[in-house]
Amino acid sequence: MAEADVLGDEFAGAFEHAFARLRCEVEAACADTAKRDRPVRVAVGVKTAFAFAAAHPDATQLLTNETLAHGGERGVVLYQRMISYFASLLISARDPDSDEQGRSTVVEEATVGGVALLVGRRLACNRESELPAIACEAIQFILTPWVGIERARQIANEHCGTAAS
Amino acid sequence: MRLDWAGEQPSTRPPFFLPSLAGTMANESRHPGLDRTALAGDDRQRWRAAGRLAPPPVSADHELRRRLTAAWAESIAVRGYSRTTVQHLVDSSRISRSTFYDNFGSKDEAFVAIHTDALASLGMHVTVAAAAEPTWPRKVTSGLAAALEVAAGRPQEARLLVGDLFGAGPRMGYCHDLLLARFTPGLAAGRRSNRAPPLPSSLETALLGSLIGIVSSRVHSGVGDTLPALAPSMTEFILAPYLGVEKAKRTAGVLSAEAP
Repeated sequence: MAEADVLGDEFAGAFEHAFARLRCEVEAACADTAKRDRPVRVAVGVKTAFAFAAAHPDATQLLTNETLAHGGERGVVLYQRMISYFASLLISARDPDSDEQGRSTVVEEATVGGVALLVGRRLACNRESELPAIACEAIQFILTPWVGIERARQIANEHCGTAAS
Repeated sequence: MRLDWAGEQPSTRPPFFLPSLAGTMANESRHPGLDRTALAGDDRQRWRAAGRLAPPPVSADHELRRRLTAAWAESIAVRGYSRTTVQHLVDSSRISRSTFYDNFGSKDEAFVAIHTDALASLGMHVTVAAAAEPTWPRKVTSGLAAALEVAAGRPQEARLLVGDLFGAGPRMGYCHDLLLARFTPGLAAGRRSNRAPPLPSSLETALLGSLIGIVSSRVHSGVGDTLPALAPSMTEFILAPYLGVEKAKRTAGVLSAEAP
């Protein structure tokens, strides 16, 4: 095995397993809200992801901190694939009738990366119990570029009830 | 346009955490071909471009840190933080094991030292860029542009600064906390100077995390030189929670048009 390929197959398999579980939960939650407004679907997806992180801190720790800290180049590739996946979900939720279609996709990548850091920091400090509370802030953070500050806070409050006020 | 580095000289004074290496490296015989008085190539050119005739000798501290920065960046990319050993570092940086341990107690200590240096350098460039601007949106715009220029021009330092270290233990997570703490106040000033509505307490951490993620992905992919081109989009993204989406868009557009 090349030295660059230090992330063993067992670790990579565990990553894929955890990623698949998270993806299934988020996609199922979003499917249940398929007929609702896209900001609501995004909010439900974010809340579900944070609930997953709180319920499965080991798996989420593996998806975030451990993969990057131990994985070298392969770990970065796996991590970026996860970021790209969630960014693609946000991109697919863009309003086709607005000027959002012409925007740079770096915004979605940035928002997902920011939320991943929020989650990773909590897990690194064994503060996963705080995750459901900051889900509300994450919803507001993610939605603001698309629906504005007030609407983002309103939606976040409807789903979690603790947005900044 | 790249930042002008001409005025940046390597420090000749050892930082508080790094004892002087004078004499230590002079006695090092493993790599006799090394020019210990030379500036790094790029710095030397910048020095000459600024019209200075005689580049000053670089301190042994600077040379050691430069080599360790490169060694750490390479090793993190190849192995990750946790699997990097002191042997990897001394092999890659071509310093002796004894020199390493004369100056650092462990690989963690060496990392903290060069991470602190890189953060201080980045902070200086961002602060200088922001200080020249009269308003908060302009300070953010210029500071962000400077940060992206630094990351593009110094990918090894960028990799050390934005690499995810939480999984490597609390001490390394502390380095990340320093990075966030360094730039959070500058962003948070937007809460009071722009009559912003109530905002999430974690907003600045999330915004900086977004920036870290973007820089990290580009540097790891070997396309760090594309980072400055993202400045307009990232400026709009960062200003939006404070100014509102439309005003952020207008502000970023105006400031981008003014940029050289």
